[in-house]
Amino acid sequence: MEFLYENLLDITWQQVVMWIIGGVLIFLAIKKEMEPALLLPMGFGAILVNLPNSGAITEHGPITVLFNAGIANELFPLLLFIGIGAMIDFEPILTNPKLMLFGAAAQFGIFMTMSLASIFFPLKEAASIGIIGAADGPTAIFVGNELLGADNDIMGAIMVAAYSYMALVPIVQPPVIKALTTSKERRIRMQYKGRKISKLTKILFPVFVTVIAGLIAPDSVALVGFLMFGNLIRECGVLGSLSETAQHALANLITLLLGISIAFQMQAEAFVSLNTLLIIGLGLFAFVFDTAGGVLFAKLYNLVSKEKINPMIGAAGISAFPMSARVIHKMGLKEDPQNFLLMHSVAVNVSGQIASVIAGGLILSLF
Amino acid sequence: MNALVNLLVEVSIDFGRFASSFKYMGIGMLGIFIVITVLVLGIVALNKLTAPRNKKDDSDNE
Repeated sequence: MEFLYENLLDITWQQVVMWIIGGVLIFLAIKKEMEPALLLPMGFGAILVNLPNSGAITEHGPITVLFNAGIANELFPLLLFIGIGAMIDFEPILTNPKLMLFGAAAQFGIFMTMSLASIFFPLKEAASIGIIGAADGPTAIFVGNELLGADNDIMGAIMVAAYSYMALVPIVQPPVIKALTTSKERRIRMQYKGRKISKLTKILFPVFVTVIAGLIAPDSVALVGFLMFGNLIRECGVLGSLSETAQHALANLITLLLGISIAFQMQAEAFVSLNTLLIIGLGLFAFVFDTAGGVLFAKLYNLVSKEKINPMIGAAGISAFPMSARVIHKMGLKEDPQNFLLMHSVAVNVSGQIASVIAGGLILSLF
Repeated sequence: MNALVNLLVEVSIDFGRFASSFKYMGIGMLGIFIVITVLVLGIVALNKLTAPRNKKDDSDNE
């Protein structure tokens, strides 16, 4: 009869902590609807892999197999990028390309956090922690894997932080924006000068971005290339069903597998550590500094430009598409119900998506 | 208690690394602005090259 209870004796307090963390992630996913497609599989997976002697993470266990097949070799993040690229309409930045500069400024959090993290961690680990500020899970996984290897102990915390803070954008960004702007600045109205972008431009754009990013920052070309490949499928006009599949079926399937596979990195003995707490804290810094970088750059722009822009849109450069754009739009409406910032914030938001991927490539080039 | 002590021992603080990281921060931010500026200029050029010709030009051509 011993076999009925001997497994219970193997339970550790760290595993119990992970069950609680898994429960919290499931709660946030269902009750608060925070990134449910990711947090729910991650939460369930956290419980699954932390049962004593779990068969899911043995050498040939399903989570181990999925992890090796899709995360250790970076396949899942890249495939997900095809879906993300197919979802994004880059027309707002083709209409007003200078807004891309705000996407660049909002990557400040990545590098600032890297510096802060270097107080506690070696530089490569610090850089992998900084990339949480890309506000883009696939980029964080890709860069972390390249720099540290998929089996590094801190990868689990980096992945959890990257996805959790993306879900918390509506909570993290508004107080930072309010602290850095006056009510008068938040009420600045911006005219949307919409103009027709030719189909040829939309088709050439993903090819052009891939070539330029590849020539200047070759390490970014895998990420940028897959993102832009997805966009080319969308814009070419002859692959409608493939575009639909990439946007929905492919993205959903990969998100599901990615979420549960990440749990491989949430095994108690590696995850329950002070390092994890530090990484979670540094992840918050990354999002705060990203937001601050974008807003402050917009204020700087207003000092030298005749045409004033609402500095809040700078914060949308954080990536986290499209949540950040919606947050800025809602904040604008709250200050002035006639102020519609959506198109501007979407433009900055999609440029943040490109800039964060390029930042990831630059970090790979630096280390 | 031992487990908690072990958790604390894991973290090492090194301000020398912090100072040396500023070089990477500077290069990184500069790099990203260079790439994005090239992209902005490229998009402006792309828009001009692929802009539909106006009617006057078309009638001239005819």
